[in-house]
Formats: sequence, structure tokens, C-alpha cells
Amino acid sequence: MSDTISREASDELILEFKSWSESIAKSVARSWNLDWKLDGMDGAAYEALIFCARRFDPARGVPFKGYARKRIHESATEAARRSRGWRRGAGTQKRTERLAREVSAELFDVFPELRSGFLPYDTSVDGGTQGQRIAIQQLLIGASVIATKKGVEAALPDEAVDFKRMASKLTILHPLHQLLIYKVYWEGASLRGLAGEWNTDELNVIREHTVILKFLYKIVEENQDTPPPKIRPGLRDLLGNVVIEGEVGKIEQIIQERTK
Amino acid sequence: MSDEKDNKLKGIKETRKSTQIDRTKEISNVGKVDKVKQVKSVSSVGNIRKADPASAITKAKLKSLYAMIDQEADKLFSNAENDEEKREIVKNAVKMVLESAAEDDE
Repeated sequence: MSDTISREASDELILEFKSWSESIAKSVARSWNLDWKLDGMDGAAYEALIFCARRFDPARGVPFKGYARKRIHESATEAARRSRGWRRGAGTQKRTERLAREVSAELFDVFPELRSGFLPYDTSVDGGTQGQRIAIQQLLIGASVIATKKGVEAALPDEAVDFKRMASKLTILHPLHQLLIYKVYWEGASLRGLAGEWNTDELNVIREHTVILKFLYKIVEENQDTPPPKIRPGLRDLLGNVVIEGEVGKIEQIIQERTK
Repeated sequence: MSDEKDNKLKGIKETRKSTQIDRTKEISNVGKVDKVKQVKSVSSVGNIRKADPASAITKAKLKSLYAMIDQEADKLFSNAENDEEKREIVKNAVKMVLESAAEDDE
């Protein structure tokens, strides 16, 4: 049983952090060129703030902002994606801008730490400017995979050529790595959720994902053949279980189906 | 009287080395473990991350992060194979997420 705070204390939190939650909604609206009030992000952020204030348990040792930010941001982005402004923009915006907005919305699902206001974290890097640079590289290649997925799914055969180039790079990956990418980028599974499904520690899956993105960045940047990364020890138990030896990778299957 | 004096302990004599440990006897019975009472609360682990202020996205940092996005995207898509449109989509998508995630500076 958690020890949530009193109603009065919860009301005080709402008053104290109301303008802060509004600033989150405004940032979301600004980034996607929407109106934070007309498109309902003000209400969504406020509702999330109330939800968090009612359930806040100081005994857990997490400051209120740290606890509530992710949920408020998520609520605001969901409202944005459902808004009339989002749909209205779909018809009037330039194709690149519209696709960029769709890709960015999915990036939050792949890198949930962004919602908390942090760059993706790489345990092998100490941080600083180099850590920022590696985080940016991961976001760029992650966005590239999402754009590839959207391109492969939606583009006409002649338009899909550019997307297929990236997709073909994905097929170099081991079938287990292809499955990881498919589950996260195509099916929208979270890395934590996938770890649960595969009955393994979430750090194993998070680190494997980081290794895959680093490899993809390298082969796209250098544009030359490089051996794909091996399955790290933490996930080797899944071989023969989640994927069977000799099986065609999931991404490769999709490409084959699309090119039939 | 002299006998009483002789019975006093004067010191510990040299101990003998243990040569063997007797075999343990079979455990005949293990008491039942009491039912675990309900766990009252579990503290949240919180974000397992180093306290690295460089990874926090703030509005003050956006300009330098955008510059980094431009540099890295140019490097990433420097090959002629990669088309301009995709570069723009990917670059703008990453800029959008950072703008959306940026926290006001305190």
C-alpha cells in the first residue's frame, strides 16, 4: 500500500506546478506547430498533473517533478496527436514536415527518457559533450529506422527505393536483432516490455538496442560492409527459443513481401 | 591449603590442532516458514542514471544541440546514396523531439 499525501497537500502541489505543466504543454505544441489551447494540450497536461498529484507518494524519494514530468508530457503529446490541428496539418503541410512530425512522435516511444527531459543514456559513455553527440547519433539513426518503416509501408514502389536502401542495411542484422528492431519500431513495443516478453533483464535489451543503433550509424555513415554485431551474452539464451537458427529475419521477410 | 593453591588455573596450555570435523547429523525437521506478511510499500528505484547534467535537455542548450544535429546528420547522410528528403525528415524529427522535451532553465 502506498502512502499518498492528503487532499490538501495534493491541491497545493497542483497549484504550485500548474504553470510548470503548462510550460510542458506549450513546448509540445511549439515543436509541432500546434496551438496548445485550441488543440487541447492545456487540458491534457492539467489532467495529468491532477492524476500525479493525487497519487504522489513522497516516501518513494522521487521529487514531484521527476515523478510527474513523463506522464504530463505523454498526456500532452497524445492530445496533440488526436487534435484537429494534427489532422489539419496532415493535408496542408509539406510532405517532409508532416513525416518529420510523425517520426518525432514515434521517437518518444523508442526513447522514453526524452519525455523526462533527458537525452538517451549510454552506459558506456561518461557523459559530457561526447555523450551528447552519441545520443544525437542514436536519435538520428532511430529516426532513420522509423522513417524507413514509414517509407516501406507507405511509399509507392518507385518512391520506396531510398527507403529500401536503409531497410536492406537492417537485413544484415542477426535475425534476433531484426526481431528486436521489428518489435520496437514496427510493433511499438517498449524495450522494457520486450525484456519482459523475452523474460530477460531490461538492461540486456537496452544495451543490445544501443549496440544495434551504433552499428547502423556506422554502416550508413561509412557506406561499406561491416560484419553485424554478435548477440551479446545476456541474450544468447534466446537463440533457438525466440529465433530459430537459419530462420529468415523479420525485416528481411517484410522486404521480401513488399518486393514480390 | 597448599592443595587449593595447586588447583588454580595458571594459564591456557597449548591447544591441539583440530584434525577432523565430525560428520553432521541428518536434519530431522525444518520448522515451517511463517507466511510473509503483505509488503507495505516498495520504494521506487528512480532513474538509474549518472548525475550527468549534460544529458538534461534545457532550452538554453537547444541551439548547440541543433548545431550538433546538423553536423551529425551531414556526416550520416554524406553519401550520395542517401536522399535529401530523408535527411530533412530525420533532422527535423530529432529537432522536434528536443524542442518538445526541453525543460525551462531554472
